[in-house]
Amino acid sequence: MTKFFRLVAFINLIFSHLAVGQSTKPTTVSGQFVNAPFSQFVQTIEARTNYHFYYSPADVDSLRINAEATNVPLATLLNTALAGTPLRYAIDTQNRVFITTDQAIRTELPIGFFDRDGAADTTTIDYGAARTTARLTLETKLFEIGSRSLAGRPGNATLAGRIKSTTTGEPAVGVTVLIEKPRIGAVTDQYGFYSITLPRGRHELKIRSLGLRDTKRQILLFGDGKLDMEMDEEVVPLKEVIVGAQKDANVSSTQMGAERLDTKTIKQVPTVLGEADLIRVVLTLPGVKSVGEGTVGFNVRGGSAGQNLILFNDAVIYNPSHLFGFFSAFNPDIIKSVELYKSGIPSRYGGRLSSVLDVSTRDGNKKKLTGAGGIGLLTGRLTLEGPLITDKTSILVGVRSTYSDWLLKQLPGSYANSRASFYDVNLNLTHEANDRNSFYLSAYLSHDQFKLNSDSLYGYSNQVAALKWKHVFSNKLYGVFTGTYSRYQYAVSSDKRPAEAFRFGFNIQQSGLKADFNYFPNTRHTVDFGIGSTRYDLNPGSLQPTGSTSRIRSDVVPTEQGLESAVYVGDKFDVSPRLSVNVGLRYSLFMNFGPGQVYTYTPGLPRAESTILDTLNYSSGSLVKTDHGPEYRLALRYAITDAFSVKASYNRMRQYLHLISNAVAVSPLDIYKLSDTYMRPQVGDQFSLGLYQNLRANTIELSAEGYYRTLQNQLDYRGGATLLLNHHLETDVVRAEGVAYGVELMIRKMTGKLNGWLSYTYARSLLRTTGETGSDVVNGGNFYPSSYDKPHDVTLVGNYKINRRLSISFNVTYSTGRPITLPLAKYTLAGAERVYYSERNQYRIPDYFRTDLSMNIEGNHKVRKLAHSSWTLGIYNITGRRNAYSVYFNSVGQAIKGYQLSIFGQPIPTLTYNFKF
Amino acid sequence: MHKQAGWLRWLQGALLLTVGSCVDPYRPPEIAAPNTFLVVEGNLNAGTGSSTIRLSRTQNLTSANKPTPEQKATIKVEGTTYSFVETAKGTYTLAAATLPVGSKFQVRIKTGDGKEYLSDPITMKQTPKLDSLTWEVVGNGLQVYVNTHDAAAKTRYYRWEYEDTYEFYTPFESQLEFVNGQVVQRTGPPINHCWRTELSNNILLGSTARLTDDVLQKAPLLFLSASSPKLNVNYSILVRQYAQSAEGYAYWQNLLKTTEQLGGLFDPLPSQVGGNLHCVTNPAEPVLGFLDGCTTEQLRVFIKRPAALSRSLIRTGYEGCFTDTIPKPKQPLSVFLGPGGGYNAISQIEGTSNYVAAGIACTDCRNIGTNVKPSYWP
Repeated sequence: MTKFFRLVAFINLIFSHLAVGQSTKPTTVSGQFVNAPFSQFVQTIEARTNYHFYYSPADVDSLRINAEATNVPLATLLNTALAGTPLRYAIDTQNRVFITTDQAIRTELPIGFFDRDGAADTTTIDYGAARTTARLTLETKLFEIGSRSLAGRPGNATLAGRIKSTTTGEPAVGVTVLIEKPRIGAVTDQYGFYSITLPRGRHELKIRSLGLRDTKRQILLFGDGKLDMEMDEEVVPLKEVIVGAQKDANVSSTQMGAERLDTKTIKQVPTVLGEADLIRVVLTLPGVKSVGEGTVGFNVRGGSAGQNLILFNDAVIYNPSHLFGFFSAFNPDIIKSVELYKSGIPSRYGGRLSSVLDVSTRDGNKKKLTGAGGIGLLTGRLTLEGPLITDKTSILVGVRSTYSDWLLKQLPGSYANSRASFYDVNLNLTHEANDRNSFYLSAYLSHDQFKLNSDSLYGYSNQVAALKWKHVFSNKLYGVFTGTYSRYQYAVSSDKRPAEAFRFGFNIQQSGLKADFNYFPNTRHTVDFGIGSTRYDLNPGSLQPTGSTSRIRSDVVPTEQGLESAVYVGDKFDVSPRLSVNVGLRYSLFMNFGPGQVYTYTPGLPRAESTILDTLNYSSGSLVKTDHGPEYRLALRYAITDAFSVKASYNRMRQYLHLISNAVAVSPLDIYKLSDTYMRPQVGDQFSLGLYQNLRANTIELSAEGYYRTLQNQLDYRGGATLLLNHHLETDVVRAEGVAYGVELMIRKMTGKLNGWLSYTYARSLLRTTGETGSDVVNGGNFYPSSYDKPHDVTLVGNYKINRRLSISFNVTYSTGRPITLPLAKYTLAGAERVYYSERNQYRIPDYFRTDLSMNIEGNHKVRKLAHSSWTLGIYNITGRRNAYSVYFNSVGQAIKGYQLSIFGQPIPTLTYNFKF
Repeated sequence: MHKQAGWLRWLQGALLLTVGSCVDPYRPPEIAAPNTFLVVEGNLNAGTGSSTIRLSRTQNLTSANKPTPEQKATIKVEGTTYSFVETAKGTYTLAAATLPVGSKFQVRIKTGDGKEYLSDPITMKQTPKLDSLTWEVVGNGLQVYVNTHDAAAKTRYYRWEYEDTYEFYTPFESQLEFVNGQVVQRTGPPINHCWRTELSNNILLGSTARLTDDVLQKAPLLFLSASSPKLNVNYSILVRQYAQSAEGYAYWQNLLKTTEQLGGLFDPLPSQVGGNLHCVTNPAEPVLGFLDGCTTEQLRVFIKRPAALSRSLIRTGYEGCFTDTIPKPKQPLSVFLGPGGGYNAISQIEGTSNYVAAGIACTDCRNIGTNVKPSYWP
């Protein structure tokens, strides 16, 4: 019994809005009160029983009691008497009755109050057992939510709260909170916040998530209330069987074309140089392709690499790569989760046509200081995290760097002059001021520098910061206010020939402010809305002489300025338990403003330097061009059975910032361009339809998605276009329209000893120039494959746990070779044979096939250990297939020879040591 | 030490990606269609002088034949009475014409199959003088540079062609000749001393568009390896300079990019390089080449091997030469010295009927050069 009381008190401690301490000894009372003052009521009761009341007269002076009771427990009488008032009561074991406003006082000390130091977890089994007991009692205990006085009232009430991890205190993201009958569910957001509107009454609330142990709560819902929960992580329990959790989000959510990856999945996919690489894992998902190895830019559903919005804690990352793309810019130890949206993109995102890759980092451990790190062949990394104020403020710092510079110096011969190095630094600060306000600060800095046997030194850098304030207005409404800053810059310099020593630089920066709100009006609607604005400042290119003897003429392309603003609203509406609709509208407005210069061209002729008629000068702050338009978002789901659903979506996206690159991959020499008089905003529409089926108690997911996209105002380039230091880029680009369509099939098993996925994609991506004359027309104005059109793609990603300490991961990938422009004929000109190329992208490089294998060996699982470590041994491209990155032809002397360049043409072994403390 | 070397090699292979080691030959699938597009090469000579245009046809990549010259075409300069004359197969010359600097001309070509081609208007440009050619030892070789300037700063775009000539000797001198089954004293100029002339076979461009003044200093022209037989006896180079229009420069630059500079990670996509000629009869038919017009400037220099380049590095190409004694038993002299025998006699071995001989390639330089001394040779 005592234990039970202590538990009640414990629950009270956590769930402060809990109404009543109810389990008192039933000493019955009788009486009839008609409009009786409270003091009279108390006198009557005290006279007839041995209860004593404690209350503040000020709380009750206006209260009149109307109640009638015959031999009922005091609690029952008080329930009736105090119904509809803010007053609460508590009765302790000595028959003392405490009347308070809003909240019943606790009559017991919290559990473990006196024996805090005695918490025995010296052995794993005891530790696990203690946890289990705590969890089980929480799972069977009935939580009363809201004021009991509302009992029996029909209708709905909203339950909200936060879910955290028991071990680290960090918010648990993407946790599903649901009841089965009727089927109503909610998912925690990136702050671990959920809000669910349920019919009043008793429910079993199921809480499920990947990587966390499923749990449940028994609730009795009287009215709106709050329920915070903690979830245990699925730590390696040595003698426990993990029961397959029912992961049914695939079928039940309206979201389609979205993939969510957690760190565990990211870390188990074999990678090229031993370091877990987020982008490489994203590339294994259906619908995501890259033009070749060693490139970080990726193409989603037939879109170009510049059409992906890559968000790092809500701030934009322009170059997500390190070391020519062999590493991704994200330190794997600090990533919490990654979400990739390919279709049905929620209305809160905008600004890019093809996809959103939303990377969020961990907040840092709020309970104790921990760290993690790794040492690989080329890189080392270290992450430290811990509380500044326990349970309130945490800090996380991550650093990653290479020692490749040092390695290059050790190499003989031509590499001695080469240099290649990078580092990145992350800092996250999280502060939970109180229940309603939390603050998040995240900063990221990366820098790359390389020089490969050439005389030019390349360097680029990302600088990103985001500050967020999350405010909970009520159970039904919360808002997040975010300020972001991103800067990307690169430079190329050379001083080999002093007379022509130069430095070429480019930078883009954006600062944005936005407010996002989530509103949960009732069971059937989840509304989000917001407003935001981003200012862009571009320095599209500057060439400067360096050193006193340089005769380079300085050349600076005028800066560009723009302001992109958007408002949006979206509503997830559960029409019936089977049918759910997600509608959204975003309206975006882009203003390009001065100072700036715009050239006018002779009408009817292709734009060229020779057809420039006039130059219009715009003063600082004056509007050069305004573009705006609506973006529609619609998604719906119809569940045919609990395990089978159909989803459809339509979305329109607008993009005002264009990536200018005539190389196939994202390279450090790409530039960005804002929409202006000639560069029209890109507009993309996507229709998609999908079928989802879960088998074997939701352990196996099957999905089939098809899509059709149209893309307007795409950019392609005239032959031999000059893109750098071009003061009138409009003369070198051609406008094109695109279509892309495809089908993605996937079978996935996320639990069990063997897990992973197999996907097949059929996809096409075609472009057609819309110009009328001469050089504005590519391939005679007909549709031609884009450079990233790879129709067939098969990927198998798997992980097999041999035992607790040893697991094997593998990755098999096949795809059609990407399109290429091939030589058709040869001729002699200027003393050498030359080749005449085909129309653009009419042929393909050889198909791509690769198999990787890696083995993860964990140290022993003793709980008390200085550090937990693991070794990752892997082989990339185990078959050694020389996959062509590109195919090219060179004239060597009098002959024309074809070559194919493969970047990882042999099996590459890797070894990484990881540790955690 | 050994272990480290292995480790390093492994690292090199595994990590360092861009250079050389992962490049394989690639033979594209048969591209069957017989593409025979017209190729136009040449220059209109501004001012007074002769102009030459060469016409040929494209071939399939797999074709082993020499490019086919386009014969029996007529080439006219629009708006004038000037007409080119076919002086050799596919080579058309306009002997004496005046095309004033600053004026614009169009060239019309009519081929034997009745098709007509027309160039865009070509502006005649004045080519500035070549100031000098300089050279210096760079690494294991000699780098030759061009220096030029245009005081009026009008030229901005330059293109060069060169022909270089070197003097060389075969390792053995054959003073005897096999005539009518008899070994006789050789007459005429010696055949062990020759001059070989080569034409530039890459596109050489320079631009001052990004410089404040129209001055090119030390623009790289060619690199002579220390092992080259060119820098052995004497060497001469003649450089021709052409002022280019911006479009012409862009064309050559583009051609250079798509045929000489592709293959790196960050290189641009190859593209169809369009010149300034169009087919009038079939606008869809591509025409390759670019016709520009300018005066020609040229400069010749002689270069001696600098002392800094060790002579021991020279590879003459005659390293495999040896002498032999002929005839052999059962093989008469004619087997060696007759047609197809492959030998030239160097001298008779005294007191015998045997000869010291060497292969023709080791005694006769005329297979790769000419034994006629060029008029400009000192």
